[in-house]
Amino acid sequence: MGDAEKFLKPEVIRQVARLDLRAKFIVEGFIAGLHASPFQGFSVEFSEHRKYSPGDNIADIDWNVFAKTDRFYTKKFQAETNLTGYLVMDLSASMGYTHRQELTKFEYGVSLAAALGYLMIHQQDPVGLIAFDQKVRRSLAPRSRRSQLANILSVLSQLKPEGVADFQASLTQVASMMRHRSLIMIFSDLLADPEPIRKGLHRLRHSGHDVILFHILDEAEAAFPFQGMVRLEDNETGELIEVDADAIKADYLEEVEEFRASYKTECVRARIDYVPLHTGMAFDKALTSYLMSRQARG
Amino acid sequence: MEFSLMHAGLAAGAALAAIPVLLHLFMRPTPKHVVFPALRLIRERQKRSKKKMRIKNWLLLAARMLLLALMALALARPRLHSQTPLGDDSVPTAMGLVFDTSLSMSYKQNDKTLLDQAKERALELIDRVPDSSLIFAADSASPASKAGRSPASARQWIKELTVRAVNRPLNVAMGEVYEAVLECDRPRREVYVLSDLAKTSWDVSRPAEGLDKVAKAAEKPGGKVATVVLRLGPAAAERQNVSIDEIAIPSGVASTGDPVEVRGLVRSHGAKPASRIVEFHLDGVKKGQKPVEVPAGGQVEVQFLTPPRLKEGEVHRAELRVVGAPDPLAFDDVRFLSFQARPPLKVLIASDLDVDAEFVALALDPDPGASRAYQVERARASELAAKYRDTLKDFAAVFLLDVRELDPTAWGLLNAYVHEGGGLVVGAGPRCLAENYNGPIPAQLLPAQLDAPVATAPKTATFGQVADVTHPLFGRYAEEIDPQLAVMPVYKYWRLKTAEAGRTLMTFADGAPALVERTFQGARAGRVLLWTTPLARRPRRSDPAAWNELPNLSYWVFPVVMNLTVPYLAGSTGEKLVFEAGDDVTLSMAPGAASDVRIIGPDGKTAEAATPPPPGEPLRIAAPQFLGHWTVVATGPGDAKKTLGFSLNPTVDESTFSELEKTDLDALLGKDGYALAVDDKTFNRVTDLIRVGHEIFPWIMFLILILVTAENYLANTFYKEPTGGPAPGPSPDAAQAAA
Repeated sequence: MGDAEKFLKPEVIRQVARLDLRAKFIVEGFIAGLHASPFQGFSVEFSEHRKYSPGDNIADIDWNVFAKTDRFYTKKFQAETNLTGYLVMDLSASMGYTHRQELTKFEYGVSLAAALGYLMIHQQDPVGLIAFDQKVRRSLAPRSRRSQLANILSVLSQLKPEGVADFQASLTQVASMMRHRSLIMIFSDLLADPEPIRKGLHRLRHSGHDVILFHILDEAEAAFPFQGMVRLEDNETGELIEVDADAIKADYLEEVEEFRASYKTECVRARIDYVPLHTGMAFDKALTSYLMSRQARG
Repeated sequence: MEFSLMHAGLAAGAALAAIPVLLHLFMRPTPKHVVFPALRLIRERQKRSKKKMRIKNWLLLAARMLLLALMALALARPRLHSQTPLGDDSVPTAMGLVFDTSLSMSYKQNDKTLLDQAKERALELIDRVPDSSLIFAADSASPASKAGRSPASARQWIKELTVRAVNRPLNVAMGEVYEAVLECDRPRREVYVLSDLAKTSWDVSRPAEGLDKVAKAAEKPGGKVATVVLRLGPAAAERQNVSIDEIAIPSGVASTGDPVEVRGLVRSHGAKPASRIVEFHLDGVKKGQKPVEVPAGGQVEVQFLTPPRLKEGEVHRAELRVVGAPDPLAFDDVRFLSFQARPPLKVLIASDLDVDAEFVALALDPDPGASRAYQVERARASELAAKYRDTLKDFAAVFLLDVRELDPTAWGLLNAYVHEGGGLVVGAGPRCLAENYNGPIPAQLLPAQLDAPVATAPKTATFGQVADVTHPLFGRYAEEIDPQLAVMPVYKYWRLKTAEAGRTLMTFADGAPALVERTFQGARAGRVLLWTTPLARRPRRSDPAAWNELPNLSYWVFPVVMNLTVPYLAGSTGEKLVFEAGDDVTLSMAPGAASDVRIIGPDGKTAEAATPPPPGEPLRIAAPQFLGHWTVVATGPGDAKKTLGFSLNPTVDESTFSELEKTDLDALLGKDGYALAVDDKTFNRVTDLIRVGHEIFPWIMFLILILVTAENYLANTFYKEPTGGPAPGPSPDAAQAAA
């Protein structure tokens, strides 16, 4: 593993305090990883050029590049694939949870959003930001300027997960804020009643947007590493439950699987990209999902 | 099936089963407080699986409690009993020992007799009980003492046990021991029967004595008597034995002047044929030997001849001995015979016609002039009274063959002769006048009155069968005679009027009596045999005197029966000098009072004085105990000594080993009333079983093993990690792969 790739690991990236650096390191690590990955076809010259393929307009061929590389590349790639993206952050209090006192779900999502913002800005895709709990709290209109990344990172670093999310209302509000068909990337643990969430997602899809749902759980929520008797507290509702962790572990994990599977099924049905994550997972999975979504538009 | 614990106190450890519950109640750990936003997932799950979880927890709790309880139970060494527990070796015991001392127990196995093996087992048993125990021992030969013996005294008594020729059924000995054991106050009661389980040692027609008392005692607490039967020796199929089953003088008479034929039967009882040598000893001197090949399970006959001119009046001692190879059962390798040589028996044959006497005379004395068993004299019936008035008593038997009539004097003479112990044979034929034979004097003599001659129907024109196969007149040929009688023609016979005074010994095919006997009791038994058809034949069937073919040379029955008839009538068959073990011996004493009688055993050393019998009475000796030749010396007036003798042989059944079946034992001892051991191993096991029961420790340990496995399985199944799911604190790579 190269030095750059190590920044795909959450335990490494959390040691980087500055969010802009985090985004940069994650993306560079991801790009370095792509050289050995199946995605290299659409990757390296992500900014301005694309390999010529039969059917492309010959007029788009960049002859300067041909002169230098003796290969055909088209120039219109950038213009054709401009995609407006929205990074939608869930500000519910549950997102601020971490069991291992490493990255919270929110921090993980922010890092991921920053990296995606970085990636999009460098591709000159306009990218905006929306943060919501019971309603949209903060938003930035999409821009493709380099300064937009600094704005996004600035807002992201100021956000704190404290409230109780109202997915249906917030996502409806998000949908109404968008004038063009956009790529909406939602970062949430989805720990709320599923029905409003489902309705909100459908609302976005009905408005013609592409949606990538990054479902972020804490590593402890995904693996349930507890043992013996534990008293569990819901930090949103304050509810307490006393359980034998060993006794319920299998059932809990089964429930998590069902939880994820139900969203996955729902998303497949709605043609939404569903990316299950937890805070112990490397960031490249999320970035790959983004790239695949973008490729689908290429 | 009862249940008990060897260490009952340890069973209290079963209370440890409460530990998991107590731990659960009092030692619940303080739960760790954890913030967990995904609580809704747990709550959702709990809504659906609360019941399931509860059941799982209860199952596990039950498994763990059971595990602890079983471990405590295993330490307490539980036992199962089919009988009341009798305690371990330290408990004072009333121990009954019943020894089979019959001759079959002298069978040698591994150079030890079965009795020796029984003694060893018994001594081992005594070694296992404390000195405060009481031993009640009995053998099958002699009555048991009701008083218990100390272990030391019992050991001595056992060591002195020997095989005995005369034994009671073990049923009786068991009764004695049961009674003594039941009366004993020792807390543990056991009765051991040590026997080869030969049928001859038991009376299988009735249960062992005392069983009812044992059953009654068992109803009371602590009254149980355990019975263990140890079968000694190999099974019947594995036994090897060659025996002499019989020694006899076939003719029944040992006449002076003639060599006497002594015949023996040698039998192999095993599954293999045997080669042996049979030696013949006479009066202590070996007179000859013959090799014999005895087929497996079969028998062969051997004959030896004594020297001629045996001393008259003396008791001669003959023995047949099987030698030539080691034999596990020695007592039946020799058989003894005592006989007296005497002059030929005089027989008078009276008839009207020579031809009527011819056949009987020929049968009794086929070679006149040669040395012989019988001295036959013929006479006309008419001269009977005149010629034999004084000498008739000298004849052993008188034949009256188809005599037309006798005058009253002659009938009176015969009547007196028979009433004094003589033997008369009447052959009624065509010449007989019924009214003469039915007269008042003949009526006192003959077994029946003559009615009329009857011609047999063609379908039933033969003799019938022997009516009493045990009658000495037919000897051991009774069963062989019947087939010949069935084909032997009879054309006519005398129908009898009444036969109340007589006993029918043989019939015709139509059921009418062919031979009738009348016996007159007295100092010497007189007998009359009435044949209802002549003891003579005619060559031509058309001859009116041709009434039957009995004397036809084609049939062997006639000479055999005639030769058996004379000794029977003479009473010589009653002069028995050979007895079997257990028989009471009766010996005819010489006329005149004996003042002293001494009985000397086969070893020639042990002598015992007996009470002289009254004059004319025989000497009776109750069941002598030792096999061999016995001598009786009677001292008469003027110190005149008369030496008598007899032989005592084992019963043939002792040689022919027949083992008790399980059903026989059940009938003898009650179906659940005993435990059977067939070798040392099973004997020890059965003894332990009775004393301590079936230990179920191994089974409980096995159960614990299963339970531990089940508990593990349950725990692992209920609380297992999700397959392929992220482990607690997984590496990011692993977690990523899982997701």
